Amino acid sequence: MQENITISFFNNLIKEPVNSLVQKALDEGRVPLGYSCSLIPEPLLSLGKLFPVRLYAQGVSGTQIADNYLSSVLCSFSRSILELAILNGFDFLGGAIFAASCDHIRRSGQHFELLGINKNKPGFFSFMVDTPRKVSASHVAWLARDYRKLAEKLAENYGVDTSDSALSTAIKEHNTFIMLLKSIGGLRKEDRPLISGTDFHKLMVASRLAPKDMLLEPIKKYLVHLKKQDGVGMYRARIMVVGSQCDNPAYTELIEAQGALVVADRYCWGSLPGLEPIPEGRDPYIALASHYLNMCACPRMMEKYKERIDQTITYYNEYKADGIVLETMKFCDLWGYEVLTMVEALRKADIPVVRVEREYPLTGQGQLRTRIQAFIESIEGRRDLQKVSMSTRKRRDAGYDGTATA
Amino acid sequence: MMELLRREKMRDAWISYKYWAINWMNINRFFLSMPITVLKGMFRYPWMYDLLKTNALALRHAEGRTGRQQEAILLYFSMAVKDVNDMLTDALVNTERLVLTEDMLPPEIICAMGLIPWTVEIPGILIPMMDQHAADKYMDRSQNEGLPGDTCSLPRATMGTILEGHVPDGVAILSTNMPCDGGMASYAKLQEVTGLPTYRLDVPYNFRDDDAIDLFVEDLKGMISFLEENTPGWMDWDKLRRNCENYNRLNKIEMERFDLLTADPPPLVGDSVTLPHWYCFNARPVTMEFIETYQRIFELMKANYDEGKPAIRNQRYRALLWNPMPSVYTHVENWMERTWGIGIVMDMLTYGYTDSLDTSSNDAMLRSLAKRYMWGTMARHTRGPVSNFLDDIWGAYAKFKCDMIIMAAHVGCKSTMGMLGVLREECRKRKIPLLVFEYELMDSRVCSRQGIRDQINNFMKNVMKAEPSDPGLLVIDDTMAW
Repeated sequence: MQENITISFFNNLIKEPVNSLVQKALDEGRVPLGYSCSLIPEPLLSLGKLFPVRLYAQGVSGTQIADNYLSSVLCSFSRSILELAILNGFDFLGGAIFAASCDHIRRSGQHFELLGINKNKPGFFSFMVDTPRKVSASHVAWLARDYRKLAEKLAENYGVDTSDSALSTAIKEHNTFIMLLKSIGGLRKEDRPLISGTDFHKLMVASRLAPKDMLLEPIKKYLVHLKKQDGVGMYRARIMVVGSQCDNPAYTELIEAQGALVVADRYCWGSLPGLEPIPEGRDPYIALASHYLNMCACPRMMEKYKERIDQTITYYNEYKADGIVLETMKFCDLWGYEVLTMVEALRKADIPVVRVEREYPLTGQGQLRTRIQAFIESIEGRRDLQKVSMSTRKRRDAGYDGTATA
Repeated sequence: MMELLRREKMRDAWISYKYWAINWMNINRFFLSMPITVLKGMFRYPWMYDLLKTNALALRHAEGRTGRQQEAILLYFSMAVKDVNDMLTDALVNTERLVLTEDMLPPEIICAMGLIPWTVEIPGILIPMMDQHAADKYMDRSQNEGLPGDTCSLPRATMGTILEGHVPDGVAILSTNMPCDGGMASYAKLQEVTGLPTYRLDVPYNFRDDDAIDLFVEDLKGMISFLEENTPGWMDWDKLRRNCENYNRLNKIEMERFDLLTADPPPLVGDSVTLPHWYCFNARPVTMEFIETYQRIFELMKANYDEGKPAIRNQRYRALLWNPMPSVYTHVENWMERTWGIGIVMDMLTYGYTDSLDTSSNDAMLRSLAKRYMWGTMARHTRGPVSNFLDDIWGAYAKFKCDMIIMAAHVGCKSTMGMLGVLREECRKRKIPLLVFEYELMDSRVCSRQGIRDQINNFMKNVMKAEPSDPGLLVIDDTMAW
């Protein structure tokens, strides 16, 4: 293991699904399990020789075959995943776990079984977790029931120990990993963050594409490396990105290339609110179900739209952002509706916000660049206006403009 | 023979005129019962103007039809006009008991609590039926507000009515996660705009599991408690029992109707089958009037069956229609009958939940209602495992002895569009002719009526190698018509 770890180490991991660490784990006889959604509990997929790998299809050049099945009106993430699966891009996986999170992912996941993806691979299975859309004790129990069913499947197919104690240990290890990532994420609150948004995005994506035990040391070393840096001081505006799932750091890079600094990432694959430890010390299946349902900030959770808005504003203030880029994936119904309430609420809270629609792979860079540039300029203009109005107020208070009264 | 035809034509004209007059009489009666309130209502809810076009819609459905097939559809419209008048009266007068509900939420429990359900989607559903462009302004308003144009046009039109303030006042909102993400997500804005207390029911993915009923019954109990806390309603179990018993009566007729629909030739087809089911099983708890109308339609059907008389002349195909028919073109089935001899013997909206409700105890009622809600039409087709979609199609296709499937591919319905590829492959394997036409449910600017007809014409000519019964109907200029 090299002593000095830089971001290029993590950048190499996100170039393809079978990266060097996954390959190493495969060579050791370990089994990667693909999963589609942040409602799938990583600790459960980390039992014994198993390790979780989030389904990732960056690099797929088109979705011609998947379009035949899913049509072109489903989001490009669900189509890209299916396309890669049809092209045998997931043949290294020992299973594919989906959440019935939205209509698109559900249909994409169902096609794994319909089309017999990896059907000749021993032990391979696909599983749809029934994820409720509201949080109550009975819905938590319902989700825990499904997690247990999944555990039975894992025990049956791969002989792993799925007992409460084994799962509790996995949760503990997961929490250690999460807290380490969270400490790096927290660096972005500083005025001169030690890490750029792009690098952090790469780190977050890499952390879901390789075995966590193999990543722990490199991330610790990377943290040491970061602490020796001067930090990012030159930027025009601090930006928070909110929206649909985004596993492509090129989007963050594009935003930062316009002079902004992305300091907060409130989206699936991002760190907010994903990096919270799972409560330990009680029924681990219930703990998992409760944690994942309560943490889920996806608009699929139908009762929590006000909480999502409040949470976004809290993060905005905490990370001292100057504006929000609200990105939604084309054809995503859930985010399509969410923006209606969210944009209005953010504007009421006097937060600059721009809404952009994007595809899963990086496309339409020209348009996106122009919109981000204009947005940053508007933030700067607003800042200038505030300065002018402050100096006018000071002058007025001092009686220099003739309006002050005795 | 000529004499017989002339007499039939005169009878058809008389039936048509009779129901036209009955509809206007009912509309006038509604207006005259409270003229000032209705006038004020028309200012507050401009979509009410579009409902005045009902007779034109009824005539579009009846056009070119004859005998009992024509009478059945007109009978349905006369019942619906009267019932919509009652609904409007409630929306205008009884707002202190009005509960705004999502369209997939059956109304039995709400009514048993002495409350009045108002389906928020009603204007969005009804007005494009009356006039294909009537909902355009609402959809445009939603898009101006930032809603993507690729979302399903039903919640998009509904969102327009919400943003325009054209939703009646109520005391609470009830919503569900059915039938799709768009419909579910739109209720956040309604809650935001109205500030009303809201309860949401969540149908699980594996809704056929036994313990799913326990989970959903608990959710229904939560809904009842919510309504008791936030509205003047209280649970009257006897009233619920009566509602359930009425439902069972209607369901009994429906099962007999299903039996007749398997006959060859089918005694009724198309919207004469679909629309009565759609309205009577969903719009309100089953009333005696619904049962009587259903019975009369059944008798018309039975008479055709006894005489061995087909519903339509020159029927050449028995088709299964999947997905809802376009709201902007609900009379497309009439056109298919007259142009290509296609009789739709069964469709997704009609092929719903078929069990009777158990009224032996309060708990039994809730359990069977839970099952009815979760297993209802559309809910089970657009949610849950893939078998709900495909197995229902194969089941209905076999049961009703169909010889082709027509897939109405609503481009805004992501859940259905995501099944088209597999459906095509399976139909090829089974050697079932599959006609897929794309359309937008409420928006004829995306695909015009002629666009729909062209897709059907091309399939019938090129794949089925059929000749039209009436070539004069292949192209009709109705882009700007109601």
